[in-house]
Amino acid sequence: MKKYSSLLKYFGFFMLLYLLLFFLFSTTPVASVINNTYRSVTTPVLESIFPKAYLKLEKDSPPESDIYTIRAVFTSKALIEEAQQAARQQGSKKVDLKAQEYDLYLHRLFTSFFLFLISLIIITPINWKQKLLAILTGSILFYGYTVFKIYIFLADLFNRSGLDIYSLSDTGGSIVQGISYVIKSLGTSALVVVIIWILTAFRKSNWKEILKKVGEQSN
Amino acid sequence: MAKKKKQKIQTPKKKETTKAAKGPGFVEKSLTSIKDYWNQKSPVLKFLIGFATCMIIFYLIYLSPFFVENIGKPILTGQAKISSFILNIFGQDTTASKDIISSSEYTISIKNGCDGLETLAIMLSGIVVFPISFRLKWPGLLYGTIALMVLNFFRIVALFFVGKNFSQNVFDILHEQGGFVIFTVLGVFLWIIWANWALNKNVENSIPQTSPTES
Repeated sequence: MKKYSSLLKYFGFFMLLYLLLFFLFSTTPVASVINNTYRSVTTPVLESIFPKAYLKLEKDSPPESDIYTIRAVFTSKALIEEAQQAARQQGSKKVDLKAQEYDLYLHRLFTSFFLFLISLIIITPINWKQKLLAILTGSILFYGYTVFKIYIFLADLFNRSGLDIYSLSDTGGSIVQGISYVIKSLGTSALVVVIIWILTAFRKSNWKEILKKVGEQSN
Repeated sequence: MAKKKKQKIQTPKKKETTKAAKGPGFVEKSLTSIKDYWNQKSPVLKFLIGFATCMIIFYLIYLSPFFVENIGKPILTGQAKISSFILNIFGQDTTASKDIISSSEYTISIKNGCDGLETLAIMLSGIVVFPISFRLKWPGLLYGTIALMVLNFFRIVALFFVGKNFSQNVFDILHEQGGFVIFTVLGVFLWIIWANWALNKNVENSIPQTSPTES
């Protein structure tokens, strides 16, 4: 055991940090802030990617409102326009239109893997300036990946929804469906985190040194 | 004559200094900074390109219907049988049928993604693309695979105990989020153990051995 004391120290530190952050981010106030922030930042991004769709990211609705759930509500803007016109012609002010929904689980999508990335960067033996830079760029890259994930899920849903918002060709549809199937797996999120960690924390001058420090074996 | 020669030599020097004073243009600057970034990151980027390629190949195979039917399912059945055997050592009185482990009190099903193969692929890809001789890679590939497979049996056994004795929420956290992350980290640490061992061996092998009589 003594032989791997350095490695056990880093592993223990990782476990402690990750579990601490995980429980902190699972508490209702923090999870609520994360949910609100994620939705408010991501909605405009998705709206600009899908301008033909009416798209909102909402909280789970009561009575069983789950703070870890984000609900993507969507329909076609053209359908809304048609319904509004029909209502105006009938002299009604009320538009009755059903939207479709897709639930995203915040822990699966973002929190647990984001905290995995942060914990990995923090335990990496590099100086604090490098750590902060890695956390900043790593967070942006991982957030970008989660937006890409939602984009693929929605593109697949739009294609199969029958709403005629965005229709893909047969080949395009199969590609998007295939990618959607792959990125739904937790393994791909873990893989992306490992890639971002290596990309942001390692460089030519330090990568062998980092491996040696973490895995240091005393004889 | 000598004075004239001196003047001829000095002229190009003057031109060089004027050019240097102007400084490089935007394109030159950008190219230099890209080159600097590449030089600073090149071994890491080369490693990442190889690593990502290996993982893409893995997912193409892992998710193909042929693999799922002919290799994935037998692996899951084998894992269920061995995990059930371990659980019976702890007196759980379980039976395994296909990918399902069941007892009179609790039943668990091992699905794709719980087989540990994704984490195994991350570790093995890391070893395969690491810039070191293959002679130092095969022990990592062999012992790493054994270690992760054994750890995955413990993960399945632990999940059975958690599912049986705790709430669904606790099971979900340990199964889908925290547990998955911890298992991936174990894979990363096993890779680090191997990389460190391989780097040390590489240094040892590169130092010329001297016999006692010579020293």
